Amino acid sequence: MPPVMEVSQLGVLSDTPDFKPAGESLGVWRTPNFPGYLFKKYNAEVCRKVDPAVLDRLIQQPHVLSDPSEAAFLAASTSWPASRIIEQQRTVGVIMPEAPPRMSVNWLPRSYTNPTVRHGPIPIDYLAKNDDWLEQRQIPRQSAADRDALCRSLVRVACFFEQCGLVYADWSYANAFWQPYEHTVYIFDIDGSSYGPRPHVFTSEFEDPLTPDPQPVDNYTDRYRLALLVGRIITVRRSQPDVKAALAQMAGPVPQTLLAMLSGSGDRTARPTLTQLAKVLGVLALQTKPIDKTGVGGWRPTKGQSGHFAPSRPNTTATVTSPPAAPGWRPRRDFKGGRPTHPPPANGGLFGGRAVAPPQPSDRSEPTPVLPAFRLPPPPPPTTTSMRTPPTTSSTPSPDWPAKIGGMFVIAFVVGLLFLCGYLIF
Amino acid sequence: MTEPMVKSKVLPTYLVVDTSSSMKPQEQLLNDTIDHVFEVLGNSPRVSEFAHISIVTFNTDAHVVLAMADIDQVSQLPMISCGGSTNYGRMFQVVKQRIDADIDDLGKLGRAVLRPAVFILTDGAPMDKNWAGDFDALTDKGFRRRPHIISYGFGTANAAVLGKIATKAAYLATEVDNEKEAIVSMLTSLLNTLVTSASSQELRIPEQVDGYTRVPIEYVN
Repeated sequence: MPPVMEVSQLGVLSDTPDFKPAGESLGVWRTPNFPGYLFKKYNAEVCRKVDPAVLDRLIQQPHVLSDPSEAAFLAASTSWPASRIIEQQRTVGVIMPEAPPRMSVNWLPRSYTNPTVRHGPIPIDYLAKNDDWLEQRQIPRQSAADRDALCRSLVRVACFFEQCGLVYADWSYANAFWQPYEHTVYIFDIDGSSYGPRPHVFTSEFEDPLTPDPQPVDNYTDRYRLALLVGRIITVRRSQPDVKAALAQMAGPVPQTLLAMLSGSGDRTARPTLTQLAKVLGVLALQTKPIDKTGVGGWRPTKGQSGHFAPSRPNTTATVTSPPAAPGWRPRRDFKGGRPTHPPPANGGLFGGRAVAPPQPSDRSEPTPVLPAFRLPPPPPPTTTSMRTPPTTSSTPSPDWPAKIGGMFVIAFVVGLLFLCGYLIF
Repeated sequence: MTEPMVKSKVLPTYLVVDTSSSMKPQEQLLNDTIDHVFEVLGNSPRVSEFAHISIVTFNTDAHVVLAMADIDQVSQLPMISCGGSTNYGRMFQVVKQRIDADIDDLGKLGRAVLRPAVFILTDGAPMDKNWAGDFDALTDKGFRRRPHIISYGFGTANAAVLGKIATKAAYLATEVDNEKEAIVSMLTSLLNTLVTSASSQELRIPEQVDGYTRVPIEYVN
């Protein structure tokens, strides 16, 4: 699927959306030319604010997964945006996969008069209800092991966000389905994610007391919100105090880690990472290919071409696992064929956030949290290959100054030799 | 930095329905539509835990036919029947009494209680003369728990009266083919209001209601 498409390429859309407008969209349509995909059309405000480069980068993000089975897991667990949709060069939305049929099950909505079995996906909200409530709706009871399995699936995806430096910000009851027989989840509304902090996103019943509105949301907020969601699923309690009280009664590293994520002892930056939560849950984090400073994991065909992505270019920062903050963009001397496909904007986020420093490799196995929000990005790793070149205009000394001095010596030597020859001849 | 206490918000919601004799032809529809509203809300835990609902009917007198409850806990709904005249005064008295009692109860549950929302559906003008005093008592600034009132009128409802008994918004059905449409549209509006309000954790009133025209609210200060 082309990463950018004209809205007309989707086919003739129905007059009214297949799914009602909600939040940032004017509605969601099924796409006649791409069965199984949905077109989310942004409202005017989002169209104005959206950064196409960030959206493009997000669309490409799953390509950092080199293991096909892990890529398949991500695809099966998320409605990852597949293509940016434009109209007269302006971004108007995205298309994304519809929840796969396996997520839909038969269940019986509560009814006072005429109960009728419904076939459809089940919101994750229901997981925070007890087994009797589920059983009344003919949804299978969920054992502690079932709930653990669901949480592992959820955390594995969330971990991927954190590894990539993505802030999802919308972990809540509203943005995921779950499968009561397979114990898997399906997460959507990913297109609103940002690389780094962004303006506050209000999420009903998931507000972080240490990130109050209008404070920007970031990875620390994600840790709180995801921990609350996982805590609600595990404890089958809904209010935050009840969840914490129930976790405090439980033994083991999982409740302890969740409690630390929910409180952070008053310091949000002290919250354990999602990677740490994954570790105590026994979740195997997705292995991302090293991502270089640009955040570009590969190159895609230019307009007019079709087919698969070009092979990844050589990695220049092999030890970095997620895209670091780029303080700015500079031309690549060796790049002649156009502009980079995914230049992150200066603000780093879809809705105006600033890029945040990525977790360092040790974060993937150690409890060290990702760098706190609002801290300046770390300096870029040292240049090791010719792929990363210094700016063409720079006031700082060039790293290849020995070569330049050597060159000057050669020139001086030749000029001197010429003078000497002239003197000897004349 | 100390950790702030997190309290779940709850919106006490009153569905106040005119059940005077003029509503008799719509009795079954009224019951069916209320069933539908409760079914939708009962299958949406995040809405039902945010909005607790009570149903008050009024005709010659006013009655609490469903006490304030978490929709999740409502196992059966009342069968509403219509008859009698349309008296507003008693209705406002009962709503005020219930608000006082219900907010106390919700507070005891450890919830952060929002200003109540009262949705009034009526198809005619009041037949009692002195209802204004009861309305004033309910909406008086000195009454700390005074509710937001949203009124919906159809049939012979009077736009001026609708505007007087609302504090937040008033709607008059002007573009509906029949009274059934008016009732369904009103209750759908109520449903959407609660769903939207649950997402934002505050009362969000729709700008438009299908088939209804928004009428000006009369301000007295």
